[in-house]
Amino acid sequence: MIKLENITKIFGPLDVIRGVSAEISQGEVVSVIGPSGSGKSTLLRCINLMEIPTSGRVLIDNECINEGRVKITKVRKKVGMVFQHFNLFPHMSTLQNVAYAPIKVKGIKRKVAEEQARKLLEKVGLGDKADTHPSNLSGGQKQRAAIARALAMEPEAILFDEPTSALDPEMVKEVLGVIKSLAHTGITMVIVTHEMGFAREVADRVWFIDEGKIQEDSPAKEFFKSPKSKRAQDFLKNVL
Amino acid sequence: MILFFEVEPVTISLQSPLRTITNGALKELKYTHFTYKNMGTFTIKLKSLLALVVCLFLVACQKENVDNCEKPLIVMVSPDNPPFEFKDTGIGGDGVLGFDIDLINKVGEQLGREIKIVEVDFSAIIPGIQSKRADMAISGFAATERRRQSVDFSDPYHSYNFAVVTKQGTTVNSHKDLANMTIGTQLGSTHETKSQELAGSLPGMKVYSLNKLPELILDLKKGRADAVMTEEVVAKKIVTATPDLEFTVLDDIGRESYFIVFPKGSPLIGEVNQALENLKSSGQIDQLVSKWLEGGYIEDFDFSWADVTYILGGIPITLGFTIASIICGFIWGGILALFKVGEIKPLNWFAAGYTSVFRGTPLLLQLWIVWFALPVELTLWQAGILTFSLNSGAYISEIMRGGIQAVDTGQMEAAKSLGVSYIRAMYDIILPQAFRKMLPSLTNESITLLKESALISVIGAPDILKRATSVGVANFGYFEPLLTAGALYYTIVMIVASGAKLLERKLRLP
Repeated sequence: MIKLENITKIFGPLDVIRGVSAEISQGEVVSVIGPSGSGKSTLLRCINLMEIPTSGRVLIDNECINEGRVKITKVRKKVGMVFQHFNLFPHMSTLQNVAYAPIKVKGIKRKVAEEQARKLLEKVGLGDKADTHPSNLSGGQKQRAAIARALAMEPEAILFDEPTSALDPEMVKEVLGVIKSLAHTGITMVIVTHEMGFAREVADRVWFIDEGKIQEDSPAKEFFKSPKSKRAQDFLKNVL
Repeated sequence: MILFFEVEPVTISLQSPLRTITNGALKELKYTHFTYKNMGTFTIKLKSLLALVVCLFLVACQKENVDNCEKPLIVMVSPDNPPFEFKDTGIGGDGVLGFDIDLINKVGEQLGREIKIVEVDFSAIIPGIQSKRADMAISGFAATERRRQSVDFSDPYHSYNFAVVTKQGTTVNSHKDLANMTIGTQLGSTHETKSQELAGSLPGMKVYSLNKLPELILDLKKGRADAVMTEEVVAKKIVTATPDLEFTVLDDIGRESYFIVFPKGSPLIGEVNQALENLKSSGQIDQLVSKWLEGGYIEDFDFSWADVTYILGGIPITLGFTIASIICGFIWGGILALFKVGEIKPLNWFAAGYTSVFRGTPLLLQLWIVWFALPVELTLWQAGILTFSLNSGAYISEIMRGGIQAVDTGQMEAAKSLGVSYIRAMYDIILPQAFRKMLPSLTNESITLLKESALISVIGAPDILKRATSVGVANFGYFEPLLTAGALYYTIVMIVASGAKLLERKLRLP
């Protein structure tokens, strides 16, 4: 479903991504782990062109999206994103946050979109918060609302950029619970995370990234049991 | 927010090649890439934005093609010189009255042409005639050598003696008594020239100038001037209005005459001179002299209710002018702000340079350049609104840029991740948040603009301040009318400020 071909990304003097090729099939859950500054988030953001790769090709459903006239809107409708800092729209209610894009981007009727949004909020356990503004939600609730917002566009894939890093520890679980409930429902997920236990439990595959490259790409169980590379072994020793 | 309302590509009809140029430019700029701080490239339709700018500049260009002889003759006057040209709100309402006005209307009758009076500041008349904003000007002008270099004059239509107004008890018998005195005169007047000439030979005589007579009278009362140099009939009026003053006619320093002013080489001069000759020989000028100059006309020097209502009449002008300028300035400022936050280098430079120039020069100067130096013919409203919009656009663009950049970049990212276009995200997500941050500064800018709108009176718009000064001039007393104007401005500002506060409270996020 998602295919990366020799992606590089250079920010000024920094080579952040140094040639990454990989493939993710429909419905797969991939955890992206690695030390900070290794390029995990940048790689994730290259997938939906939040960052335009300096070179290389990004293919979504066998269509190259970053060559010639960039097909940004197309990829954005297929691939949703959840951010570390939630980025909910503060001037809209939780319901409006979720219903906004379906109404404005997909042209769905307000009534239908809001009904659907309400269902999604129920699904992430925020049924009673529909009319609350984001400033009155806890961090965990905000992130769950943000996940509902991404789901509302019915994407084929969702990219999670460290979804629990900005949360207080007691709220991590509720968010991970929601993400877990989405796994293996047909939606493709790429999750940049520091939660190793979660990665092991939920992911089909793990990409271990260091120095701008995928150093190891293996099934999750295998990776956590016996990482092949020395770097991955050291990394796991430090975080577990 | 009104930043992105749809405007059809320029539909104003223009006879000039400008039309082809603007349409060409529109086509070229139709799609230009905008990027927003490392967030990817987005396409913005510049068409409608550009059309707005072009409209702003070109509203002025619809010049009517009317046969020359049917057009009324435009005559500039500075109505602050009673009894020659002034406003008496008790009798004349908004109209300008006086000797000169009657005279020029009679000249118009002789020529078979309608006369249209345009009010401007005295200091704006010569530049205005030079740039052919009017066909002639009449306002007690003397034909000095210096003026002859830039404009032409008719034959004299009235001559007079100089006179000085002093406090009662000051002895002035001849011009020699002006030695060691400080003399106030009206800026740019022949009284000024004459006084300076006298000061050359009289020891200790000092001359200074102010814009208007009532200011000089106030100085005289306060002792900042020992005498005010003017002419006989005017001196008589001043003394009637202000009982503790007296005047002395100086018949030992020659007489001076009044002339009508024309642009250089105006074809009207011959006809007008002939008309003046006819009026003189038929005794009509003498009738005017007895009507206006020899006490036939009785003025009301008291600050009356009519004066108050006259000043109140300036409210729609001040408000209309301010609101139009704020709206245009807001649109233009929004466009400039987008230039600034976008990543097209030439547009960045343009917006930065533009802001720097318009913030770095006086507004009054900008107004003068637009009014007198632009090659297109603008009405007073167009010139004023154009200048103020261009000026406030510079300030508003800075406020907006700050507001937009104060919104967390994550907001734009989140919108983009949902497939929302750049413009849509700006409109629905960024600007509503930015607007809340900008509101206090925008209120400030609106209030500043409201007060600065008083500058428009310099080119003649009868706004609140202009009306107050007119009343002050006609009454020879500034205090009450200016206080009234001050109270009006303050009231309007208070209403605007509390309205803004209410809006702020309403928009505050829960």
